[in-house]
Amino acid sequence: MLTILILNTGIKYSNSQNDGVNNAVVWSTWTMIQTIPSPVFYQDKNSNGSRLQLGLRWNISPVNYSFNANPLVSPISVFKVNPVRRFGGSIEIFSQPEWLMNENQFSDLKRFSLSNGIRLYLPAIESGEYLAFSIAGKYKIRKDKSGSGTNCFSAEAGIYSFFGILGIQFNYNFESRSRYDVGLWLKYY
Amino acid sequence: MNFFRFITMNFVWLRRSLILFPFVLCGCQTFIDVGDNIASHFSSPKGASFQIKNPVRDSVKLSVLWVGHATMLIQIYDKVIMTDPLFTNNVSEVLRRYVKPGLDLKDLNKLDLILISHSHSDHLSLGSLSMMEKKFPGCDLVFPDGVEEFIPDFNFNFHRMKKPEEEKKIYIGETKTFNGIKITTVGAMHWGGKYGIDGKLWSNNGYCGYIIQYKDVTVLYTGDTSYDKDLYNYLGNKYKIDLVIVNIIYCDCPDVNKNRQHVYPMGAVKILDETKARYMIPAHFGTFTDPDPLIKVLKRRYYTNEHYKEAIKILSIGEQFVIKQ
Repeated sequence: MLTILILNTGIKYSNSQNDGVNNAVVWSTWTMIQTIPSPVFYQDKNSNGSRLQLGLRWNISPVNYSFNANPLVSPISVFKVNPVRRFGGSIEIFSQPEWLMNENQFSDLKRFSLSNGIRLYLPAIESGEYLAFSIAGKYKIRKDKSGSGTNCFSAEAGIYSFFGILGIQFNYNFESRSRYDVGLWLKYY
Repeated sequence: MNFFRFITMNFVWLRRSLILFPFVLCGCQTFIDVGDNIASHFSSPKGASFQIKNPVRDSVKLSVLWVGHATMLIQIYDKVIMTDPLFTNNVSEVLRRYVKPGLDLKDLNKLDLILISHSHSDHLSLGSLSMMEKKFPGCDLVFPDGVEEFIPDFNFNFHRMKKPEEEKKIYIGETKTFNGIKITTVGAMHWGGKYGIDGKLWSNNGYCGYIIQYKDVTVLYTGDTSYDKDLYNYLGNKYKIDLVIVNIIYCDCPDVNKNRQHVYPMGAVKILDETKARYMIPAHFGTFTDPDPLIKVLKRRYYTNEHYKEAIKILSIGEQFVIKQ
């Protein structure tokens, strides 16, 4: 987060003629907002049983390309993505750190994972502000308790409302020990 | 009285607690209505008092039709302008229209210009712009610098205009002419952004008022603003204003300003006095709540002497004020 802040204090984030924008304030507050996690339920499974496991997920989008940006603004957003540009129709690269609240009981997967992928947003109502959908593909990097890599691919579908602040994402993981997860999307910018 | 209406009318804490979410999102003080109007989510908006089938008239010098909230259809001779179009039934998903728009877009056959005063959701309604794009593709869309951040790529001609710097007492932004209509951005005392933090903390200051000039007619649309003596005195001295349209926040009170961001009804009178306009029309009220009792209060507060009775035109939704050639 600190790296993001440092990297971006010098970035002019729009073509606006507005003066007086304090980039340090913008990026520091934006960075703080991004630390708010979204709750997610993960499947914890082996041959002996299965249960739901609560975890937290963060989402960062280093680059977003909006195909519904007007001619006066850049279609490319770096980290901080205006909701009207994201949910009005866009494609983005994203990174998702995830952390389970407790150790897995059935699977031997570790608590931390990191997913990286690409996501497509499609607007449905009011340029996506009232309703939007997404589909994504991602690669989840994770280890088991022995330290071996258990990386896998995942497919994700999402639905969003309230200016994209609130949403639900469903994931299908190509990994039998944690096949499904479903979580809220809480994101402000 | 149905159950929901009973609950929302009788539990003030419930109504007020519903303010927070849209306030964070959109900020505009109008959203104080959201708690009060939650009952209307369970019913359809009622019909407007007037529904004019031919809003664009022949032989008109100046006409103004109040579509609702801050949406005004202004005709100056052969030119037709609309301010802050709002035709959707909901704003920010949670604020429900109480009265239908006083104009059916199907009845509007000509539009030269759309003016957006700022990017709050009750003024920059993406759903409404989408409707207008279908009806008037390629129409000129004018907005102050900063608002472009919140507009998708509609099929309009986008015109970003420099905004004034009120803090430095620079009350004029810039002047441009569109289809012969001279538009000048003028000062307003409000705030910008669309999702809360962008306006409050990230310095998106995209808001303004407009001076609209065509032939011998000058109209001031204040946008959302509070009363500032220097600003409106300056505009009154610089322009010979025929009509000022003031966005108010309803209140049965003698106060002038609400938090330096809006005017109460009596602040609109101060703007009328300071600008020396011939007429004043209050707007930006009575769309998400029942307008009829509010209009009665405004008449009582405004019509205290013959001058104000003549100068202040309190329109019902859908009603048109016309000055013929």
